[in-house]
Amino acid sequence: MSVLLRLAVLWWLLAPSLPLSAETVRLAMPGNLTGIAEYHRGEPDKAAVLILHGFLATHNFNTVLNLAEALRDEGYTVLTPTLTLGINARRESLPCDAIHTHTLYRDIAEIDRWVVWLTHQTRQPIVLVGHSYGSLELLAWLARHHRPQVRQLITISLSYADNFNPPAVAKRQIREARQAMNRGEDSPHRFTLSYCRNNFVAPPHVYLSYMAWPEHRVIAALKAASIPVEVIMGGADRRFDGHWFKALKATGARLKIIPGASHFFDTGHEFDLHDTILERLERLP
Amino acid sequence: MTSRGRTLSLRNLLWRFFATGIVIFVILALNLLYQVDRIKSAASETRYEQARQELQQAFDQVERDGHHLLMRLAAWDEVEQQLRTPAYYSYWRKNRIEGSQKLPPYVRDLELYDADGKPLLQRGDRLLPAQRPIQAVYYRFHGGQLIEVRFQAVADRSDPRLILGHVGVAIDVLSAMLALQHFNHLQVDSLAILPFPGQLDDRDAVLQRMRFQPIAELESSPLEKLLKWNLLQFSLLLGAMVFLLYQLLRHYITRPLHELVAYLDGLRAGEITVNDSTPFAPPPIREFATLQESLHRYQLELDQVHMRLDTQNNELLRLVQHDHLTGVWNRRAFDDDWQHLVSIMENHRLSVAYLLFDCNHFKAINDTYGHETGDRVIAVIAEVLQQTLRRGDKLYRMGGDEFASVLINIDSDAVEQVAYRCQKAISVYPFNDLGIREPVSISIGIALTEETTRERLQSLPRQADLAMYNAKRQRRAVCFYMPEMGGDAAILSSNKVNTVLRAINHGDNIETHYQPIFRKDEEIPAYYEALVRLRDRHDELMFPGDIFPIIERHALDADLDRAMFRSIEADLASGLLPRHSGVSINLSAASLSDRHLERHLTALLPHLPYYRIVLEVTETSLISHLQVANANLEKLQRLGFYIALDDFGSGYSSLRYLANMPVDIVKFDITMIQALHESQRSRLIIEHVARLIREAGYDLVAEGIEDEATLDLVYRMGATHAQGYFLGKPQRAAGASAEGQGTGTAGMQEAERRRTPKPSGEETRATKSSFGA
Repeated sequence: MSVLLRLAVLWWLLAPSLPLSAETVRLAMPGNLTGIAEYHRGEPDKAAVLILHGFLATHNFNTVLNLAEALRDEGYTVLTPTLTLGINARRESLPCDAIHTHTLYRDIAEIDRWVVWLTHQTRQPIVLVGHSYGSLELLAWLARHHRPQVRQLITISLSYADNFNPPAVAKRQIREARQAMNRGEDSPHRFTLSYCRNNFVAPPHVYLSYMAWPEHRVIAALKAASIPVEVIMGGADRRFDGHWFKALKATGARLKIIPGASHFFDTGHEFDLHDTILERLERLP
Repeated sequence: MTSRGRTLSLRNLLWRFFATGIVIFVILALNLLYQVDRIKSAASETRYEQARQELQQAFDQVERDGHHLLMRLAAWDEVEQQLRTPAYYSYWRKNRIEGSQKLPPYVRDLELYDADGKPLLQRGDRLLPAQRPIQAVYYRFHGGQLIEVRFQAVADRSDPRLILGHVGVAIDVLSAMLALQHFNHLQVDSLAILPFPGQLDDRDAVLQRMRFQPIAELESSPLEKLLKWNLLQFSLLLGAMVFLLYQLLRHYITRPLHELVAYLDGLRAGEITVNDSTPFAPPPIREFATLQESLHRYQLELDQVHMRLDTQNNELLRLVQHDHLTGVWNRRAFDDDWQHLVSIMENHRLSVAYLLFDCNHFKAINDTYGHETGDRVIAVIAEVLQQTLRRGDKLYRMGGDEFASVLINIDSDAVEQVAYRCQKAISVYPFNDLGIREPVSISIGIALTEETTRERLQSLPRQADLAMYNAKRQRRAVCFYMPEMGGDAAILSSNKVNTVLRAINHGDNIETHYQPIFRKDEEIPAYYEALVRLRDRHDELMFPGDIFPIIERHALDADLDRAMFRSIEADLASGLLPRHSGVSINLSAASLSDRHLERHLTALLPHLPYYRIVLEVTETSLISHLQVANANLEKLQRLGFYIALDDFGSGYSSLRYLANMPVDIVKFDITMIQALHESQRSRLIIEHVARLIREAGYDLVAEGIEDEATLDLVYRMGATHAQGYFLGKPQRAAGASAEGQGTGTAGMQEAERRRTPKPSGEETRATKSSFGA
């Protein structure tokens, strides 16, 4: 009787923090901000998957949303956080011309908080899945943090900082940003970053934070990864050329190119993506 | 026939009809315009109300939109970002708000305020206040614009109980209205706001300050113009139709009618005759042509009728003014001519002679040779006189054998010559050819005057009458009126004699009156007593008091009786007296002794089955001619006449005579009735005599009843009948005014009593006198 009573009290106390199904989770983030994520508790014997959205997007981005649903359907625990990007409880994708005060470092910190939160939710292995720039940020987190419960990193359309821009442009912007910082200027500037063509409005240090992960650093991180890294690329992703695929392949990471798939694995290719990821999850050691 | 003043001419009627129609049309048109105006006003009010509602909807829409805009802003991540980290707010506001299209164009200003209500950016040219106000919404007038200032608090996403800051926007309300609302009823360029100081919190107050005009009804104005134009067209068309209709009516109806009326007037005036071939142009309408034909035929027939009527009228006039027996002018023509003559001759200083001709012994001729011969004598006399008079002198038959002529501008010698020529012409005429053995002559009375005053002229006929009377009395052929013949009294006397003679000779002036005699206890008269009255030439009634002295003087009793027989017979034939009643006729002693009495009464025999005819005789006359009278009465009694003994008690009243006479009725004399009141003895005697008479089988009539007491007395006495003024006065017919009004009843009855004729011994003399006069 006393054992049952104790269990009931414990369940009552823990209940608020134990999501029973898909729910919105709010989590305190650095800078007195609140992060928001969707969390679905899956089957207890299956792995937990954290899926991170791409550049300036949210967890409601289609690629993320569809993948999360597919995994939930297979019984996996799924957490899809939205990075605050300096906005408390951010709900929408942040436009390029909004003022960006977030940095890659703060993003990594927020990723770590969600990973830690997830380790508190389950004892099952945790697989990190990132899309596009989210893959880069997870790779950057992996380079900085080590959580034993995290067993695998799956990158989808893995990108690097200046993949959209000619190297000369990136070099010039980086130089100008550094010069501005050296001058003590912290006012927003317009940069070309990822798909933000000369309209990424941010102080120089913000820009420089994201530009800190160029191609070679990504390649290096892949090579140095402490856990298995699965790289899934779209065969029709026009953001990258063959050079990037070769470079990736050369890292030793497991590269899966889905023919015909775009950067976002839309139309019928999302099922190939989902099948590929499910296959990896089933083979998770 | 109604006067023309109360009738309308066709043209007048048409004008009234058209005028009424035009008035009605004008009233209807005005009413239509009024209704259109009213509908316009109502539509204008409706449009204004619709515009007002549209304005209110737009205002509501602006409020809703403003609210939604603020809610979106409050939920916007970047607002949250700026409120939390406003370091780059100025840059953000400039680039993300002002330089972008994120806000609607009617948002004139946006500002973020911190939790204390202070703006994140201090600016000078703001529409928004420097401190977030208490009111979430208010309005202000700025730069000619109505600005809605709206605030929305932004909650902390980490702890919604905390206010992170505020969003304020300034919205140009009118621009927002135009952008958000499609106006169908409100004229957008008329939208304006009345300036007001400070700020207004009440939206209704703001709405009241908004000015607008409804969109003019695009269709109403052209519709009204179209209606007015159509109305004008219709008016013109109606006017043209009225004019055309009037001309048509004038041409086809009015003018033919006028011509028809003029034609009829012409016919009536004699300007046109029905024989004219084309009285007027044939009317264009068939019915008028038919009417014209009908009227023409009718006028033809009417003319023929007029001609016949004229002929008949002329004949009638001739008959009316001419004597049918002689063919000369009659008394009516004389009266007309005489009145005309008196009126035109007055004061003309022309002598006027009035000649009165009378046939001597004409009555004797008539009685001896019969009426037919007498008429032929009259006709011959008229013819001879007319031929003997001067050319142009009119001869009038005044009645019976009396003729007259009036000669103008003639002296006494000439008159005398004319008179003697006439007298001679008559005297030489061979009357033997007519079977008359005695000579026939005329007497001529002449009245001549050279003084033509009205009074003088009017006295001429009487003077000629008096001259005639003197001529006959003096047995002269011609006699001029001389003043010594007597004045008015003589003329009057002459007039009465002539009246009586006329009654005897012609009887046309006898006016018999009837006094009722009642049987005891009956209300309807048993029979009537016939009483003689004569109407003189002056239309005055002559009573027995005047009649019988002349009759007695001239011994005309029997003649008067016979004249009365004829008069009574005429009355019975005309139904003057009710059938199954009776009539009582007084017989004079002369008639009673007349051996031809039965023949004289022959005319009354057909009335015996229907009328009880009583012949009243006096005991005096009976006694005078006892044998002849008895014989006559017995014969008459056998024929069905009743015999009444009149004035019983006034003479000898011998009961022996009474017993031997063929008498059915005894009439107590009035003196007997009066004696009832004298003494008891008288009364007893009279009562016993009455009882004796009744027991002998006679009816007893008490006359002279003047009161009810006397009536009761005579009935108690035994009278079977009563007569008197108390029961009924003599009168011409039932229902006519009774005579004697204004005259004492005793006087009237006394006068009746005086009708009693003289003994028969005087009859011969009277007849001779009459005959020889």
